Amino acid sequence: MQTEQVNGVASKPVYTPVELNPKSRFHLFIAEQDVPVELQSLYDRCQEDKAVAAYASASDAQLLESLVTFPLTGTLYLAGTEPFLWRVASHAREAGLCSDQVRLLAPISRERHLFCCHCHTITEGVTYSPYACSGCGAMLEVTDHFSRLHGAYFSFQANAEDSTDMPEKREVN
Amino acid sequence: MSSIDQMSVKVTAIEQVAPMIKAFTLQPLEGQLTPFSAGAHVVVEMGEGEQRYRNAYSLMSNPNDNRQYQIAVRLQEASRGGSIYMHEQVAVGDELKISPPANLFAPAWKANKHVLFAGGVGITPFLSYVPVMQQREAEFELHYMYRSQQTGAYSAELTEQLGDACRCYDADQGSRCDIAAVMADQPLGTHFYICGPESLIEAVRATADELGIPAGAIHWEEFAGAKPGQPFKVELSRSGVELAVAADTSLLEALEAADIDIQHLCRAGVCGQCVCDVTEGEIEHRDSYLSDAEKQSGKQMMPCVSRAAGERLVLDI
Repeated sequence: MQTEQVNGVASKPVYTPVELNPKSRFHLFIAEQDVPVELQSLYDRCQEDKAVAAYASASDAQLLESLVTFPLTGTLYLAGTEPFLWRVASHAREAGLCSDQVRLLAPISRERHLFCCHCHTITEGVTYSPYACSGCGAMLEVTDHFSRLHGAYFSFQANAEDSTDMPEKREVN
Repeated sequence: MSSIDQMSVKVTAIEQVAPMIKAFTLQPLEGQLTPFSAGAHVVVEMGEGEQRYRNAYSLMSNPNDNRQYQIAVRLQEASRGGSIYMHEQVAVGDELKISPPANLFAPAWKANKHVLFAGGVGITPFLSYVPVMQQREAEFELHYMYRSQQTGAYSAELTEQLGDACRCYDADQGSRCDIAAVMADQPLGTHFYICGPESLIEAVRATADELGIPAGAIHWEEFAGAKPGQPFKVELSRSGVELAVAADTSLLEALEAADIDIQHLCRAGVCGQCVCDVTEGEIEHRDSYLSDAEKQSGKQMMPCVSRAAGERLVLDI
């Protein structure tokens, strides 16, 4: 998948423009909520056997169901927030899709899921650092180390030597 | 010498398993051999003095058996000599030096199903796959193509052992594998593996591309090592040494003969271990490790298979 190196950190995904896979015999388009223009445009241009699904709040069971009949020669296109993209990508991998069969559109928001290395809780909707962990309350330093399995960024206690002295708040993108 | 410790083994059995293929059983001089994973190979060192060869051979014995290793060698009459040496010079009781096992062709265990294509002596890595796949109860099918007048080792045993999961195609009996028919309509999560001549690898890859099967589901191992070419000279800029590379010697072999230590694993242009920096001279790239951009830059080469395109190369060694 897209894994170009950015700012010296290899694990933050890079989302390049998505094209239809001309070799594929089947194309499945999944959007997290509303179908964004880019996904709709790909769908409209697709001449092959195709299906589109948009979920208001997709359960894992729904997502797995949508992959049950997916063929070896298919390509999956995903649009939504970053955690959604990678949650579906994880299901796809479990179902047997290769990474080159899954194409991710750039996330529709810059909100991150944050994985706390102390209590393992995932905190949602993070846009700045440090950020309070929703599990243990620690003020977490947000890194660009991304777990494709968890769809979340690694984080740890900011300024652990002196946690009363917090670094200045900064936006993450 | 190799930077990885070699081990000494004794040849305890040699069997002619096909008209052109001999199988060698290797046992440790002392202790036990290290276990290996399905698809692993060892590099066997052969010969003495000037005429030394190091060829990579897949381990075809059961990976769980650490009492012995087995390899199979196809006689390549047009080769640079390694297989001729193994066929004509090596006898039961001889000692050989081998590298520890390394694996560049392990099964993708996450796959839902495995489809194996073997061409001739390319059956060897799959012989180590089969017991592990059976143990894991993995779904697989083996398509084995050969010419019974030359190759085709173990086809009877495999057919008996695997039943419908093994299909044999003997070109000398006019039997051909319809690759597209095998690959079409396989279920999601099928991975395909090819070991055999380049033509077979190309045919399977082209068929996959045509059918829309993702490239990530195709895995292959070329068993071809270095091929001969034009002789050339190589200068080593750091040591000032100049070496002549003969037509039937690889650059890596020439460096090793001059006691220059180069890391290597596959000796087939795949693993990337032996990469060398080049400061002067045109390169004839023959590897599948460097990217097209890296090849075009002309600053790096894989001395195990690649050669000079001209008469001279300067390496930053």
